[in-house]
Amino acid sequence: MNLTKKFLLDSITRRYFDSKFYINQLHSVDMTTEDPWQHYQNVGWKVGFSPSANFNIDQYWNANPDVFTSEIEPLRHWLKTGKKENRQFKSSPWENPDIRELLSENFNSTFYLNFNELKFVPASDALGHFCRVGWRLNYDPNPNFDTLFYKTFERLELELKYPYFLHFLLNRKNLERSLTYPRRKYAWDLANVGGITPRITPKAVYRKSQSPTYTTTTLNEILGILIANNYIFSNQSIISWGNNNYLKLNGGIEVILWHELQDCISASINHIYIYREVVTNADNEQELNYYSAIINGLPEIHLDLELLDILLKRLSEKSIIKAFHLHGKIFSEVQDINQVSTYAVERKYIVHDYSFICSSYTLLRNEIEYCSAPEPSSNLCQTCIAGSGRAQHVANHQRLLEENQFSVVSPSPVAAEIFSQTFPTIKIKIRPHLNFNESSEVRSSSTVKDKKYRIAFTGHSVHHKGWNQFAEFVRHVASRNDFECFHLGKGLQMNNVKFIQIDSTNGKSNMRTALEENEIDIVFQWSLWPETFGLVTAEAIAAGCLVITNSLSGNTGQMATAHDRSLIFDSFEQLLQYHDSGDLEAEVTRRKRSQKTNKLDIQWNSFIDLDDSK
Amino acid sequence: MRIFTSVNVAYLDRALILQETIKRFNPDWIFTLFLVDEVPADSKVQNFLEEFDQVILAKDLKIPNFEHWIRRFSVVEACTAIKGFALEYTLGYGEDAIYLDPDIAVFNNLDVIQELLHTNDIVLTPHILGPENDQMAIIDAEINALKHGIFNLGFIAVRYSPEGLRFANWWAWRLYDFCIEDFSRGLFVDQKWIDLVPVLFNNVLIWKHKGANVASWNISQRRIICEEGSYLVDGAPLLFLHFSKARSDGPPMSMRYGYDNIPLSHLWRWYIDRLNLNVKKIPTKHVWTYA
Repeated sequence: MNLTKKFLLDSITRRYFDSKFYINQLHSVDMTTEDPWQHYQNVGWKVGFSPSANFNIDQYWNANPDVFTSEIEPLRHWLKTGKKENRQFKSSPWENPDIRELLSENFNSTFYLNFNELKFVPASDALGHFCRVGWRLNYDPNPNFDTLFYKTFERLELELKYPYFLHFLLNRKNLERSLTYPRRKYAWDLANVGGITPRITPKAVYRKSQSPTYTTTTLNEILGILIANNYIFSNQSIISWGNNNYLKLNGGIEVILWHELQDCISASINHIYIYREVVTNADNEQELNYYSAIINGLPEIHLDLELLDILLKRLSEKSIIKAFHLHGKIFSEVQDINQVSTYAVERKYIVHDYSFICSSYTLLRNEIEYCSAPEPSSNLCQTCIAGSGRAQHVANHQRLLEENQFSVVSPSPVAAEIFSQTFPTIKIKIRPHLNFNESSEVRSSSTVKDKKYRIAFTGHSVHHKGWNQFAEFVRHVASRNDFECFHLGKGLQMNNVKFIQIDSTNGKSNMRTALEENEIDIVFQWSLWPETFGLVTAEAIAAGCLVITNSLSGNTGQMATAHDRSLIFDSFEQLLQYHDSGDLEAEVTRRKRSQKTNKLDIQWNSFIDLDDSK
Repeated sequence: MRIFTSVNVAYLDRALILQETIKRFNPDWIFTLFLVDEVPADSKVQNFLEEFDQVILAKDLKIPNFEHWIRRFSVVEACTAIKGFALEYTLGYGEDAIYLDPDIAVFNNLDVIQELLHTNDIVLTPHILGPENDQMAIIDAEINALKHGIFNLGFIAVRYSPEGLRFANWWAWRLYDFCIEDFSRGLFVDQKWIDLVPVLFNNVLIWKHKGANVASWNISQRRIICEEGSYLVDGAPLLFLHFSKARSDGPPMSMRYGYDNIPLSHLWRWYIDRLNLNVKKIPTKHVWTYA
């Protein structure tokens, strides 16, 4: 089309455009600074805003599916060709009064406006907004219906010309067996079951060509430099064994390793941290174990087992290797641990998870629900993705502990009890990673006017930490709009939840500061498995927050209860009922009035001598 | 008791799960794999086949004009077309026989079937056990059963008896001539023929055990629970579950009608995972010999 024709068509189209009518549709958009015509051209028609009362985009699309799929602006299409071709307008079937009534009965205006953050839409027009625009943008009509989930679950690959919610109401809700809404927390797993990812815990995978393994010469050079510059102490050493580079990652174990390093340096003890990196041979796909060593917190050096052995020999000549601390999960490196741990005078295994009991280290059967570690030969274990080979897994770990005379240290009674059920002959000592002291700081009163109570999910938004339950909770409370929701941590974000990214590298916990700065009242820690420790819970307690959790959450619930900061529920449904009855809000108020939410200081225990009884 | 299935190379991954789960509960039963394919030169497949109790090539069943006959069929038709001959072959050992589809997994001792064959010559499981209540389910379940056959031929048990042998022979030759999908003539591979069995043969049991042959097409009428470590279906022990179309519509179809059934979620996840492990052991690209 030449420029003159385009100009003419633009001018004609514009003549049909009714700015007043158009603006009236746009409750959710601030149009004070935007030209309505430009808005219509750029965004409006694509989400179904009509240009005038006389030209209904929905009706034009409904009668002309080819226009709907062509991505041509409908009014322009009608003026250019549709008019000549006598194209019709047809009311959508979902616009009939009975259907509107059905939608209305199942629509929750408060939820819709709050959850989808539609500040400019009046409550009286919420359903109208959903019908005109919202459904196209996948906005959810009530707390129980998740549009995106439904599309995936039902495999609705074709774009519907009416709300997916209506599809549900017409097709599923009429079925006697399907009166309830799809339950995301279980069904998601199944909807995507064909694409299950490998269950092995994440591991570093390098191709051989990229593997930066040092030679004996370079290792000797590095050691020479470290010794010459007094980076290596001459007294004692501790070998620590884990899974990741604690200087770069920021989970609970990494924070503990950082404290272990600090304790060692303060006591002039070398901290030799070793973790495995799997290298896949590009030629034959065979996996080989390579290792990285972080000496006294300096950048890692890459070694194979032979070089690692040379390194430890050199160190043992210079200092006594006091202890071997096993922090991580073990994969194929059992033999290597056997070899390395013999350099140390004593050997400790610190329980951080249940990886000695099962390769599913959270004991979530099929990554769905807690299993209590049944007998490996049981039906339950045999129908779990981690079940095959579990008997061998337990036997290998038992042998490692017994043959190398490891003593076992658990940070909590609950972890010790679960560990002992599988390894009844192994002695286990309970020693918390930290204690709480009364703080001189008092939680200051809020600076925010008319502040609603604030609830936050803290940490990584993963299934086993209860992210799905938090997401359900957010949707649920949006109907009453009585809580403000936050996510402090990393990972997924969602509507109606303020996201604040927290980075805790180098052992520094920014979580506590973030909880305080954002005046969080309640932390949502719905772990689906018995947490062995629960760093984020400790941080929440220290910040003076209440902790909402469930009776299966292990040390999360126990630690919070010990400091009178817990609200523990037997089921998620029970929590929702508690909220709906207004008891949750009342209980938070009561606790705050009775000074049950003061701050506490965290006192970390030493990680050098794990036998002390502080 | 002998138990058998029929597959081409592409379904070996499923057949191994079937054998493993049978052996867990009935270790003494002999499992025969009828392979409707040539054994590829690939050592991976040959090693995989070593894991089965017994492997019989379909071409060795002495089916008349086999090479020409088998090429009339699609791969699905071919694997079902040999079932009658495979049944005759298996009964030839002088023992009772059970056929299970390769995409079935067993979750309990199957001695109950052996007991049923003491008094019955043929045991069949219907696709559905009760009437549906709404339009969509009538279409999905009842009309589908009318179209594809009343009984699901993922399972059939046959006694080593004159009547059992008479049935096996009848079925083998019907499939030899008419194992095709032609709904206009009322034919659907091996399965539609079985609608006639309760009429043409004696001592046929229509076995309405809730835990037998659980599948996406009947899950709406059966609820799986997990109690004290055992799977139960409406109070009956779960015997075997049909993981039909595991790589395509199986999981969503099952969950469409059983979507809040957590034990079913567990079973599907476990099955897909086992399948993924087996897939790594055999080459994914194999052209069916009789294409």
